[in-house]
Amino acid sequence: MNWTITKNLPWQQMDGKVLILNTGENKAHELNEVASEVWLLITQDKTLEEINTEIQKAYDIDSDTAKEDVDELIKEFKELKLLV
Amino acid sequence: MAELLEKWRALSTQNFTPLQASLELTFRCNERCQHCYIDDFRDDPDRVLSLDQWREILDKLREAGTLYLILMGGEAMLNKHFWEILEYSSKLGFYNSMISNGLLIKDLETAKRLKDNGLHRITFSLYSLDEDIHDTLTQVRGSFRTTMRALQFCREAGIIVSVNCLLTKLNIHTVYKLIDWCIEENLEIREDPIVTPGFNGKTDILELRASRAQLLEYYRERARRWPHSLKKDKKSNGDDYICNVGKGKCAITPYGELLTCIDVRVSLGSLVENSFDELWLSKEANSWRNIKVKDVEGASDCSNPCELCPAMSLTEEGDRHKLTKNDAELEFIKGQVRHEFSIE
Ligand SMILES: C[S@@+](CC[C@H](N)C(=O)[O-])C[C@H]1O[C@@H](n2cnc3c(N)ncnc32)[C@H](O)[C@@H]1O
Repeated sequence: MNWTITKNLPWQQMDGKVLILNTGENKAHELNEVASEVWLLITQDKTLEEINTEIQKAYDIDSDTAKEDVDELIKEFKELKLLV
Repeated sequence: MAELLEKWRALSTQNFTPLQASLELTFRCNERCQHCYIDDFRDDPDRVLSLDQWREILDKLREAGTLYLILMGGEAMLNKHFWEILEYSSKLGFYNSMISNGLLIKDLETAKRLKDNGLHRITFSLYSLDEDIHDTLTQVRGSFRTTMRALQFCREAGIIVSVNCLLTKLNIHTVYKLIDWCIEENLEIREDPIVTPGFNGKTDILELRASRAQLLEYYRERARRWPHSLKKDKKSNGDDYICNVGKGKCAITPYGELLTCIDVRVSLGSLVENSFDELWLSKEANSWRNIKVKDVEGASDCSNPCELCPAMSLTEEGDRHKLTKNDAELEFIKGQVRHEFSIE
């Protein structure tokens, strides 16, 4: 799976949660804890495999579950036009 | 969306996270506004920051939790690294806005370049739709036309545009036309009824403040149009902070000094030489951020005690815990208008 972060997309984190302003769509998204974690890994240019491993470790889940969750989140980020 | 952003703002105030930072990219300006609080439109060449130093400051603000950047000055676009700073800031994920006179946005191409480099919002300082009045205040002939053209270019380029109008005795009587025009054009406008003292405590510009009669007329017109805008805030029990100074916002001078607010010209120290927290958690910063309504005599009787400015109190009354005479005057005027219009 390939992606890049949408150009000029403002975001920030506070208290473990990420806020993203999708200015093109005039929308703001506050991500939950797992989604925030995945977003932060994406912004650190981690590969899909690295993200899966990090999430698996952080939440003590099996690799298939981690992979499914991360895939789902990335799909959602794309639908929300946060990633292209 | 507004609710979510408000929640983040409230949280940032509570946590002392500087969600918003104003960056004075330069003191240089291509206007000479009569009312301007900047006393010398020059940068000390020995103290201006290099591009790398600005980048370092942006990294530190990012780490400190800043989301909203307000680029200003002086005229921000006169900083020779302006475009690189904007580009880097967008790359880091800031929401970029700028307060500008627009004199350097001479064509659609420049406006598109701003948009493309990540400028999300621009606020133009527009003093009147009367060309003479605007140009008299800015002391640059032709500035009204250039600013208006820049405003249209930016709209066409898809940047969110809004208007800021400082009310002085020279333009306040023409603000209604400007408001009507903004409504027609679907532009947000913010009027500011208080000319603040200059840096270095210079108070001669305060003579430009609108008179009581002018302000009475202004607030009466507001009461006719938007009676709710004159309503008193709910009474404070005294434990509310008087403003957001040193909590959800901060400012950086052209020399990289960290301030608790753009109006408080007390440097916390150099953000190039120190870590953000070292300066932000200092005694000096605490002394500004902890001022509460109960610490300022007479504040709890004000209709908007959380909009009082301790910096103005310090300059005008020599004590940041004192209401200024101007605050009292505005309170009297608003009180009279509320009474006339039976606004509770
Ligand atoms: C100092 S200017 C810098 C940005 C840009 N050069 C401009 O003209 O918008 C920023 C804003 O401060 C306002 N301003 C300047 N002097 C002021 C004063 N003494 N009191 C209150 N607002 C002031 C201006 O009207 C402008 O909207």
